[in-house]
Amino acid sequence: MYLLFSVVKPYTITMIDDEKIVKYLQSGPKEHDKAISYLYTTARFKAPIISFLKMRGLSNNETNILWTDIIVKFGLLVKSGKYEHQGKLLGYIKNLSNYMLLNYFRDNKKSNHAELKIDIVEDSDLVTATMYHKELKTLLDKQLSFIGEICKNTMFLWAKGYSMKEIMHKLSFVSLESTRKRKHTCLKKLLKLVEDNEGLSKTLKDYHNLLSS
Amino acid sequence: MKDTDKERIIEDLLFEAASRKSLQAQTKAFTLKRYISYAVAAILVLGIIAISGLLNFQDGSDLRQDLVAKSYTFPKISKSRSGQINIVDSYINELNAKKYSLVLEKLHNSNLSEVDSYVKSHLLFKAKKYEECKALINATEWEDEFLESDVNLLLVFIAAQSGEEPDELKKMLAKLNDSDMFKATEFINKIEASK
Repeated sequence: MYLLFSVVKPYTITMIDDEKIVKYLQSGPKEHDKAISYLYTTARFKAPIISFLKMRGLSNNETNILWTDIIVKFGLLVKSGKYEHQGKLLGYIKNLSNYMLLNYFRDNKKSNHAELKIDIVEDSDLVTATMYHKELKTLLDKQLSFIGEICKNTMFLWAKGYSMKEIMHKLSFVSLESTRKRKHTCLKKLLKLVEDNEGLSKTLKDYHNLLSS
Repeated sequence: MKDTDKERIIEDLLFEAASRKSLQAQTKAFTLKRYISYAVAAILVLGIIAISGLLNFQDGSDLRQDLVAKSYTFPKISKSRSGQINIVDSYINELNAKKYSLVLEKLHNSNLSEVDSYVKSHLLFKAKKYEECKALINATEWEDEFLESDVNLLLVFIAAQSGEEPDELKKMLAKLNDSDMFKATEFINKIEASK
């Protein structure tokens, strides 16, 4: 019995209200991870979106990929101050899902996305945030594979907001100085790869122009 | 595009990639935990099935013992009127007083008459010494048809106790007279009905 309870225990998730979710997403990396993990697994958010995506003909695998991307994108929108909580968190995620789905259909040329008949609430931040999503994600993932696992993990921790001291401990670097140097070298290496990659460089410029417009 | 702008966009993309990675890792761990839970649940269910199966077996065994107890009666033994000398004739009072173990002790002799063997068979059956009982019945040359039928009914009871199936029990009815055949058939029907 003890074994069963010890296995089942991790499923018990403490309820987090919407306001706290947003607060956590705006906080440090640990709280952020906790909040996106909660959003990602809680049926109140997951069930309606998954059902919506499946009804539009996405397979289980496609649905899971898109659901992950939606939550990750929402996390970034909150962190960068694009989302203002007005008590309509689920509604906002649904609207974000609409944009992500439209882009997904367009990018994968699954069907004429104009025929999807999705009720979108106009939101310029969501337009820019979701545009070029697939291209940028795919192209960056490819460049990340060239910088090595240690560099990649260093970049991830830095981007998530971990301090140099935390990165040093997490990746067992010898000193703060070497951690800083490593981060600097890795970022330089990645930026160089981005610069050298014509496709990524162009998409980044387009994306930047869209953000600036 | 300035380098700082590029760096900021890359940082956001890295942030997304890192979040995606942690969610994927979490999904894998979650799936593993779910499989472990399924495995634990399956083991528990199998355990419960095995235990309940064992209990059912014991219940079946208990039920058969109950049926035998209800169907079996120790025969009424009277003093023999024939010229034959039986050891049991000296212990009629003890038998009537149900001092079965005492009488069984007196029948350890190997030179037993047919009636002695008959009574000893029942005493062994009462004492639950089924193997000895079977051996004695099979080793005795029964001349009296009534006695032979009665001890063969005992063999049916012993076989039933050991879990023999009704079809096998039915094959043992050949040496029974009408009265014992009726008792045995009724007994076997009850076993079948209890399944």
